[in-house]
This record gives sequence, structure tokens and C-alpha cells, in this order.
Amino acid sequence: MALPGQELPVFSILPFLGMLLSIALFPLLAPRFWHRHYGKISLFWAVITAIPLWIWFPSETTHTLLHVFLAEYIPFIILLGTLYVISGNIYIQGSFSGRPLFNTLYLLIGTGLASIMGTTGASVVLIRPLLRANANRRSKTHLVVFFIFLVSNIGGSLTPLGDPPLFLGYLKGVPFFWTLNLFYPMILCTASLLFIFYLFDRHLYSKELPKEVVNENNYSFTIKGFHNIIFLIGVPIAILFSGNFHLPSITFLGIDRPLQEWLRDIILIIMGILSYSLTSQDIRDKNEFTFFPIKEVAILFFGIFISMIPALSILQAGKEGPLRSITENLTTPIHYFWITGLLSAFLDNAPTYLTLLSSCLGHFYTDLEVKEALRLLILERPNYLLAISCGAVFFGALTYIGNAPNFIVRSIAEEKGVFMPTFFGYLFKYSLPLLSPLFLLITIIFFRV
Amino acid sequence: MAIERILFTTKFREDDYQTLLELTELQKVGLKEIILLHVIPREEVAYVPFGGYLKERALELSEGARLRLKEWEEELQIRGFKVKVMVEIGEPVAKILQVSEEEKANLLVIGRKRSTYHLIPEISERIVSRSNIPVLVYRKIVHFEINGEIFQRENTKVFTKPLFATDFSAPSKRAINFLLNFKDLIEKIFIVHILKEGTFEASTEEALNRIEEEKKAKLCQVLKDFQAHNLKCSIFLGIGDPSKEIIAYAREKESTLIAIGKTGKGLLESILVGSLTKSLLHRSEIPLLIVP
Repeated sequence: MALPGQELPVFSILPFLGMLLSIALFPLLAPRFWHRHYGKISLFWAVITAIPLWIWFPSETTHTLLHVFLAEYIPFIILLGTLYVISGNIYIQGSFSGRPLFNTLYLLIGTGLASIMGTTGASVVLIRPLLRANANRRSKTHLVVFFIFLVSNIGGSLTPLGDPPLFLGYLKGVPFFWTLNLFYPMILCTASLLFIFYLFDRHLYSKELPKEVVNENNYSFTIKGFHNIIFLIGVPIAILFSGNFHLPSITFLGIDRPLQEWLRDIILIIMGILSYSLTSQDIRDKNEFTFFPIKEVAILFFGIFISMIPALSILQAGKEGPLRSITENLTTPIHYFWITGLLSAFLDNAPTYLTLLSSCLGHFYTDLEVKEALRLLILERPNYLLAISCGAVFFGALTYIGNAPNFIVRSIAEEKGVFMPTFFGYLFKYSLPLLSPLFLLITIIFFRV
Repeated sequence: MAIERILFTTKFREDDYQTLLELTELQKVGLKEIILLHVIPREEVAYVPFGGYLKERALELSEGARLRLKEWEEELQIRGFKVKVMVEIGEPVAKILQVSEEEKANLLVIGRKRSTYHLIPEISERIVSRSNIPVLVYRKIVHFEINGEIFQRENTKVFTKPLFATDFSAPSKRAINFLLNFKDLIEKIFIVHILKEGTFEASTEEALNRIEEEKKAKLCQVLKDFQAHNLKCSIFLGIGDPSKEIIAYAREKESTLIAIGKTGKGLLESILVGSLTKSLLHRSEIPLLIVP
């Protein structure tokens, strides 16, 4: 009982645009107002999306809203929340010294961990040790910028746990291990960026006096809350279980969901609770753990999930929908890579991924169910999904607003006294010069027709 | 352990300054230094969704707090105290505990939220449960409710008539030693033990009498501990809900402070049956001294 996208007017996507523009512009233009009222703004866009839909298509809207809420939004928040809690219960201690080789290796390890812990979790856990290790360095801005590139974004590309767009794809039907197809583009980006980082950091390091970079703390390397590694391993196992075991469906509020998905969500919640209760509060204090960032993500994504319903329905209608002129012109993986990417850079990458994926499915498989259409897309045109996935994950690093962990890292760094460039400073001084050549290279190597 | 250094935390409630001035009477028992701490919750300035950190807002709030605390500092210095002013940004509970540890304070003073029902916010509960040093939960002006009626109480000279609720445990013994730091301020001390209803077996009057005698003997021992320091004391043995009985007795005797030793409870036990500390924190309008 899906919403008929072909019958929806184009203006029904305006609240979605409003929501995305709010995320993009309020933090720049009115940060205090936004900080205080982002919840109300998110709710506002959700409500003005839902009311007209209810008037036009009451039963389809109710069903779609419930489906989005129960089968997409709740699992999405449960996964992000669980990874965030588990990560926040792990504390890395050591007398690290912020030398170029250490920093480079640290970023490499962080990039790898991001696909396991999620970019949000990895960012929260790993940024503070990096800043502590470099506490005596004069130049720290570049560390945070490369950390955002690699740990907060690119590193999350290998599993659906890594980055929210990929998990949304998984919920739609992309197989868990399919995202490993992003390995080569990811390695290309990571290796190039780490190489540039090492040279840059070594250059800056050589200009600083050696005594300034000595870390006087004398801690042996320890991972506190190590038992949480079990939970970190448990998360992908729970997700794999839900993807590979087929149990009967359970109908709740008229929405059919397979039992294994309910079980997965319950297991994730239990793991989050166990991780929290079995870990000393001292560890969370050391990590300066707070639920606030994840609460913000939950509130904002509530607005995003609801307000993007008309846009997704219209795009899924493909050639029969009112946005056929757009969907018909997106014909090659290059189009999808760059359009998904550029939109992901300035809007949040998770809804952008879904929007472009819907558009792609609507273009090639108009009359099919999403899961079946996805199956065929992966079988017949895998490069399109690769392009959308790479675009969504990699371009999230282009701006502070591209991906939620970017702003968390920026906030932590600024609180610790690191000078961070403005929105445009980050864009023009760091991300465009460093990332756009890489994205061109990826286009040439992987998506050239 | 002498009370030489206290950590006073403030959220700049309307009576915080008056509360602080009340504590200056501790000079008579050796107080030399007061650390004034205001914690700006990180959420007020950080994690702007998709934005980052509100640097200017953080500066404004920090500077505003520092200016107010500087004024308090001047007044305290006139009274002969050494004062340290601290304004921090962070998670309040963690930050307060961290500062109390780093500054080696002998007593941590925290306020309580004005409320008609829950006199204590969750934050105070978390501080009390995790603090390794004694915590005084104290506000000068408190509003509270009895049978639907709202009352206002002014807590002054808090150390003159303390009520010491004991369960004869090790923390209770530590609380005795800590209370003795205030002996020059204490006029009379009420020593109380409450037999929690339903937790002892006494099928006959004779059996109950035997338990009462046993507890009274223990109370007398505590009485002697205080009397050995020339303190005027009385003992009381009650039966019922401990927190309700303690508060009722404290009100009846116009006690100025309730002092207890903090008994650690497991997570499950604390959730299922609660703890005396938690219950007193929620119910008592009288200042509380909790000694770990």
C-alpha cells in the first residue's frame, strides 16, 4: 500500500528541501537559534509533509508513515545509538607522541575501524586520543581535517555499519557484504590522503621545535572497557543474522516485518544496555561521553525520514513520475556519482543516498518492488550502486554538514582549543583542493563508460 | 580529617550566594579555602547539529560566570578565606567530581533544585552516589510539600543540631568521625536508628523487645562516642520506613542537618528497593550530609 509517486505533485517535496536547507543554512546563519530550536524545526517539516499527504491519500500515508517509522527510522537509530554507546565505553590511553608517522598510522587504523564501529562511534572514540597525543603541537588543524576526511567519512565505506547511507541501503535490500565492492575506491582515497597527510604533517613537524612535541604523560598503552570489543563484534553478527535467517513475519500496527529484524533490533538494544551497564562511568567520563549528539541525530533524522517520503515516492515512480525530466537525464554512473556526491556534500548524505537510489531504481525498474529492483540493479548494473554509494560516503567529507560525525569532531576539536576553519575555509582551503582531484581520479578509474 | 578546603558548586540560583555565606561559619572549625566552581553544561555550547561549537557563546557564559564569582571571591577574601574561582565547560557530574578530586577538597557542597515534589534533581543523586568525599546537599531556601501544602524553609546554622542516622555500618562509623569535625558548632546531636518494617523477624513481643534492646545498646555505644567529645546527645529508636521516620523526627526536633553514612548498594538492589540516601535526597528539605 505504497504512496503513488506518479500522482504526487512536485511541490510535495518542498518540505524535504526545507528540511535539508535548514540543516545546511541554519548552522551557518543562525547557529544559536538552530541549537535551541532544531527539534521544533525538524518536527515542523515532518508535520507539514505528513498533513497534505494524509488529506490526499489517508490510508496509504498512514501505512507509509508507519512503515518508515517502524522498519526504517527505528532500526536506523537503534544501530547508530548502539554503536555510539559501545564506542563511548571504550577508552584508549597511552603516552602517544604526535609525530608524523604515529599520526599517519593512527589515521590509518581509525579509517579501518570506522567500517566496524561506524563513523560516528569511531570519530567520538578516536579524536580525543589524537588531540591528546598532539597536545603540544602547534599545528593541529590539519590533523582534525584529515581525521574528518578519513575516519568520519571515507573509512565508513566498507560495511553497512560504517556510514548511515549504507545502512539505509542495507535496510532497503543491499546485501551486507556488497559494500566491500567499495574497497578499491576507498583504498585509492585512503592511500592518497594518508600519503599527502604524512608529507604535510612532516613538513609542519619539522618547523616545530622538538621539545614542543614531547608528550610528558607516562601512560602505558591501554584500552579501557576492552570487553566492549565483544559487543562491537556482536553488532555485525546481529545484522548478518537478520539478513541471512528467514523467519516468519510479524504484523505490528499493520506493518509486516520479519521476526529476524525485530530480533536484531532487540539484540542491538540489549547489547547497548549491557555495554553501558557493564562499563565503569569513569571510562565514559574520560571519553566525555554524552547522549546529546545521538539525541540530536535522532531528532533531526525523524524530520528527514518523514519529509523525504514524497521525494522518494516520486523518484521511485521514475518515468511515470513528475520528476521524469531529472530521472531520465541521469543515465550513467558518472552522473550518479557526482550528483549523489555534490548533494551529499551540502545536504546530509543519508537521505541523499536514498533519494538517488530511488531515482536510479525508478529509471531502470519502474514497475518493480524496491527489493526486486535492487536485486536486478546489483545483478545488471552494479556500477550504478557503486557510484551512488561512493558519492554518498566520500563526498560527505567535502563540508562540515555532509555527515553528522563531521560536526561532532569539529565541536570536540574547537572545545579543546584547536583552531578550525570556517565552513568556507574548510571547503576552499582543504576539502576542494584535496578531495576533488581524488574524486576525478575515481571517476576516471571506476565510472568511465 | 579537618575541613580545610571545600568545593562549592553553583548554578547561580537566587539563594546560592546566601547559601555560600552561611557556610563561612565553618571558619570556626578550621575552614581556610573555598573553591568556587561553576560548570557550563557542554550541551549549551557544543554539538550544534551540523554546526559545531559556539565559541562566542562559550566565552560569554564563561566570562559572565567568572565576573559573578569574582565578586563572591572578594567578599570571601574580606572574611579571611583563600578563594579559587573555576569556570569549566563539560558534563556537570563528571566535571564536579573531577575538580573535587584534583583540588583535594574535604567537603563537596552541591545545591538542590527548587521543586514542590522532587526536591532533588537527578544530577545531585549522581554526584552523591559517585563522590569519594563527603557531600553536603544544601540550599538556604527550600520549598517543599507536605500533604499538598507548600512550605518554605530557611536553612541556617546547619551544623548546630544535626541528626545522625546510623545503621551501625562502617560508613556510619566514618560519618561519626566526620561529624566530629564540626563539634565546635554543634549544640546537640540526635542519634537515630530506624528498624525498617518487614525486615526483622519478631513474632512475639518478647522477641521484638530483644531486638529493641540490642539496637538501643548499639545506639548507646554511638552516644558514648559523641559524649566522649563533650557533645550533648540523645538517642531514638524507631520502626517504619527509614527515610520517612528520619525526616519526621528531624522536623519534630527542629534538626538542622541530617547526616548519614553512604552504604553502597548494587545496581539491581538500588533499582528495586531504592536506597536510604536516594530516598532522603528526594524527600528531605533539611540539608543532607552524606559521608562515603
